[in-house]
Amino acid sequence: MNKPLGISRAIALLGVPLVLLITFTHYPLLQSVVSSFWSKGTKIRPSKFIGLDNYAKLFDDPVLAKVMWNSLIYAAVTIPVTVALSIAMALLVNSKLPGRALMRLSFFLPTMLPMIAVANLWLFVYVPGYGLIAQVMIWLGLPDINFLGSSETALWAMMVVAVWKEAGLFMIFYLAALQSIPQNLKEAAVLEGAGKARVFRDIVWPLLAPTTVFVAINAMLNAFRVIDHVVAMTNGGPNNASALLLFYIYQVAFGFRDFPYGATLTVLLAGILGLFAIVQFKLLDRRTHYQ
Amino acid sequence: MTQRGASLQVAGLKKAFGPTSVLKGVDFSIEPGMFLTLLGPSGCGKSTALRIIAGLEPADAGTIRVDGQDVTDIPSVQRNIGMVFQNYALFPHMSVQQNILYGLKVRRTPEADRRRALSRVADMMGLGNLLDRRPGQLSGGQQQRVALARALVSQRPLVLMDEPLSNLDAKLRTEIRAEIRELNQRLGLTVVYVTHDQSEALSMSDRILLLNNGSAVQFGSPQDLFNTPATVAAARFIGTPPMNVISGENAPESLGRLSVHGDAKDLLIGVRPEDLSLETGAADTRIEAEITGWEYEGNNTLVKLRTSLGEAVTLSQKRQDMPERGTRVSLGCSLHALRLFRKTDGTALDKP
Ligand SMILES: Nc1ncnc2c1ncn2[C@@H]1O[C@H](COP(=O)(O)OP(=O)(O)OP(=O)(O)O)[C@@H](O)[C@H]1O
Ligand SMILES: [Mg+2]
Repeated sequence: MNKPLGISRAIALLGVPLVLLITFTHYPLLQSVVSSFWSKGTKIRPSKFIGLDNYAKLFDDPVLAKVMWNSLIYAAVTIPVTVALSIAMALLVNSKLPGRALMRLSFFLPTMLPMIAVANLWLFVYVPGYGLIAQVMIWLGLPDINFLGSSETALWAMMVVAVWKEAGLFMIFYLAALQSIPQNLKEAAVLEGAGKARVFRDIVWPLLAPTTVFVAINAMLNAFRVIDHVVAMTNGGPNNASALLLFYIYQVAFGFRDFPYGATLTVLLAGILGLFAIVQFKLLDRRTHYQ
Repeated sequence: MTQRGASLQVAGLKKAFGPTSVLKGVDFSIEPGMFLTLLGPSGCGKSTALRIIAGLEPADAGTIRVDGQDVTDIPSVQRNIGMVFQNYALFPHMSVQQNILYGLKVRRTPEADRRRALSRVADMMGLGNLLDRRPGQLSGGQQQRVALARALVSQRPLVLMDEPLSNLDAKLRTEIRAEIRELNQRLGLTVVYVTHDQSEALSMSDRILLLNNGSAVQFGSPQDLFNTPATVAAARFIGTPPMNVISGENAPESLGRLSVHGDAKDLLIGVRPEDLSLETGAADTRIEAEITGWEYEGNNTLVKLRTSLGEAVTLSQKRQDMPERGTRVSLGCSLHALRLFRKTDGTALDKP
């Protein structure tokens, strides 16, 4: 059983994943870092080494500032809302209400749809004049709002879509976590005089912490990673009001074909995501292990 | 430190889960400070009864009175009952100290009182140097003590314990058993204790309620249950090894001498293994049997026998020299050690 592996076999076993990782993850990232030190090449002026100029440019790029701000708001709002909503749905679905199988299905349904389909669905909801919301507003005698078309509401309209789509998935994780909390812990708290809210605050919520950290990581990653709905619904507009960081990278690199600056932004994004990962693994290690 | 226990009366307690009837009308009543054990085989409804008393489960019928007050319909919070759960139910994310003080914190007991209560139970349970640990960092016995401390810190007059020692090894079990019994006597609190271990029940209790299939078989002191089992089921459940129950036809002439009316074949004779002897001296009654084997247990030896009617009988004796397997013997026994039961329904006849 414990016979040591031959060195050649060990290299072969390590080699395959290593080659794949290097080819598709490390090398492109390294390539991005390298090309972020070069200028954008044109027909007449070939690309040349410019050191940290691209990074200096980050600081006085007003679009980047706007996009970072958007991403920040997007993360700061969608993460807690998603966590709260998915816990609420999990609690509802975990109770002994009639029809909970149907509820589980309907809460989970949005998660199974591809983002593009979800975006299209919500386009119909948001469309001014005859969309679902517009019809309700008109019926109530309220003014019609172009949710996706105005810079005050576009980002928020998209956050609603993201939450709607993601909460169902996170509900499943919370449901599993809820069902693994022993019933008698709650009963012990009740016998000690705790009411429903108190039991949730003192027992259920702390025991859900590992799930919450996991959900927060994923919601955070999604906030910086998902652009399908931006592309499908607003294309970042109006006036970059709904553009997120990854969407901006996509625009710079493939829209304006400024690959070096796109690479610089990519390095920025990779740095941000790496930072989140470190912080959250630290959190997971320190705070949420009880055994 | 003295504290008065509560009395507890349970009458006509019924509970069904769907089509299965789990409790079929259970009654008992205990005085303040008593130690009551609910005893019975697995699945007989002990935990269900305890949970209904605690208010964690509603009863279908019946009343529960604590200190004379009807608590059947009031929520568990207001019943003022402490409980030790079968597998401790300690809060894994709280330290030992937070676990113990949780109830006092919820009920907003003043800080000074809390500190005093903590040091009292921590001393009592020997938890002084474990207060900052998490339950996951404790041994089973230590967790047990924390669970007991949590149930005792509030000084509630009635404490329920659901098989609290089932996960411990034999040595720790006897230790904590004595500790619980001592607490009950020293603090004067009323304890309702659940177990399926009859020797635990005999050694700890003031009263035992023997349950079988959701019905009370017998309610009485440990001596009552041991000496005068109310049914064949009770006789076969209590004692290690349990009472021998054989057909009356094995000793018809002694039944005659007991002047019991009715046919010997309609009766069952119960006799404890300790009351049988292999000696050939004077005995009130004799049962013919053949030795089929024996088990050496250290302080005594169990002799396995078969009567002439083919029924298995066990005899327990101090002597260690053993007649050979296959030897025919006649087992002696005094008349007053015999218990008689009806074959039809298993109930005991009046003590001869
Ligand atoms: N919530 C429930 N739903 C359905 N049946 C239940 C429920 N709780 C208990 N039962 C059934 O009721 C019967 C008695 O259960 P209970 O837990 O009271 O047994 P017990 O005497 O405590 O047994 P043990 O010694 O194994 O703990 C069992 O047959 C069990 O299957
Ligand atoms: Mg039980």
